[in-house]
Amino acid sequence: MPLSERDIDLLSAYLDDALDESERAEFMQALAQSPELQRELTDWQAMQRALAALPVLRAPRDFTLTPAQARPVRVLVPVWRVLSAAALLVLLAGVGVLFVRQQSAPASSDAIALLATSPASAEPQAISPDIDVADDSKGGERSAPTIDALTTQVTPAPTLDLAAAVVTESAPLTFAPAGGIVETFGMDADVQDDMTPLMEQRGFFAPEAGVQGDMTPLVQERGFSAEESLSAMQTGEPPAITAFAETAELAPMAAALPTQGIRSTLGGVLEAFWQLVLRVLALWLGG
Amino acid sequence: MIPDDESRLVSRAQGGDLEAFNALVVRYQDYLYTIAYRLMGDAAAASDMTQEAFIAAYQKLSSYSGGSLKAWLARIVTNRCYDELRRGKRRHTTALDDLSERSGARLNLVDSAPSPESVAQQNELQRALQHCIAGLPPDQRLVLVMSDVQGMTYQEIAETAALNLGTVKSRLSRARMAMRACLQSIQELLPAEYRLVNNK
Repeated sequence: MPLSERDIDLLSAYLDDALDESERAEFMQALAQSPELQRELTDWQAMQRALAALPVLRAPRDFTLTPAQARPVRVLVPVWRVLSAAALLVLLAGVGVLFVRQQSAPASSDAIALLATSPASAEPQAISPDIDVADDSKGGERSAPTIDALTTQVTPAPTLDLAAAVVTESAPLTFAPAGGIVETFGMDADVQDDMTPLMEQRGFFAPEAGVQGDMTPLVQERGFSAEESLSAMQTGEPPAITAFAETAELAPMAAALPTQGIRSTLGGVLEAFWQLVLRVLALWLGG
Repeated sequence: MIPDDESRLVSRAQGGDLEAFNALVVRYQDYLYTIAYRLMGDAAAASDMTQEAFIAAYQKLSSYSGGSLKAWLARIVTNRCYDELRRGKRRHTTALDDLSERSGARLNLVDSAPSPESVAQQNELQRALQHCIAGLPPDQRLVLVMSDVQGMTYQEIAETAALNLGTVKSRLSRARMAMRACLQSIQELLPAEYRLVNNK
């Protein structure tokens, strides 16, 4: 009859004299009834004696320490750890930038979205340097050039209220002769009237009368002067508005949008998250 | 009881005296190497573990607060070997024939028997035991060597290997059972007087 697991455990503990009273009684009873267990005990005892008698071996060499071996170990941060930490930093930075851009992008294009959903269904054109300034083949039957399209597309910032005010008055700029060159910077004249209530509703500007004459500095700020615009209208050459078409120009405008509060909060959260990441990295590299 | 000269050597070594520490190394290097060899089953690995254990001991000598230095060093080398075995870097298992050829010169006895025939028989048995120890799983090998080779108690094994007493007992009984089966399987290689009585 094969030995049970219980028998084996009791046998092992019996060898080490580690049985309590009841276990010892149980084992002695099993031992008396089982020749198999008796033989097993004999073998185990012989094996235990043989193991205990294993000699101490002679060391194959001298293990005394050299001064170099005794020097305190300097804990160096493994190269792979540094590299992976750097990769993680870059990844997190990238995610952070994308996140911030994602938050700011819808805000800066708010006006564009607004135009797209306006009842006039006038699709705003992108502002670019290659604007078709004059097209005489269409009989010159165009409205005066205005900068309302510029205003609505890229300048929903409070700083552009003056320009917006001009749009609200539905009047051409003082430097733009009525009935002159028709093509505007993105929107036909008939659209601007439709856009005005919508833009007012969104709070993009606060109409003020009598500010038209003050547009020159603003236009200059946008990258081209009133004289340049007038000259462009007369010569058929587009005004130099490349600066205005630059994406970089959008950033400060977007910063002043109504989502400022949300952006600040998100910025705080990101900063706190960033601090946490740096601390974890420091701990990690330290470990 | 710690010999006075050992206490003095330890104190000096704790103060950074390498010469004093090396005197302790010379005293215990055979003992530590033997433990390492029993656990690793390989002379080269045992040498590495012994050297690492002495380096580690020197570096953390300040944490030694008395008691048996021999036992303290034994714990260090045992843990080193166990970590190494668990990492699976050294999974040395050898055939008995290979063992007798390869490590014959390394199994020098400190106290050699007088008769050449007796030495040969003893060596056969030791090789068989070492072969069977090396065939055990690391967990079982650790407790068997600590218990039956080093003579540690259950409590000492539990503390050294960070195991509870129940685990120590069960692993030890399984290790002994496996050893018994291994020795039985190679009985014909053993001298007659060392053969097990239970041939089933």
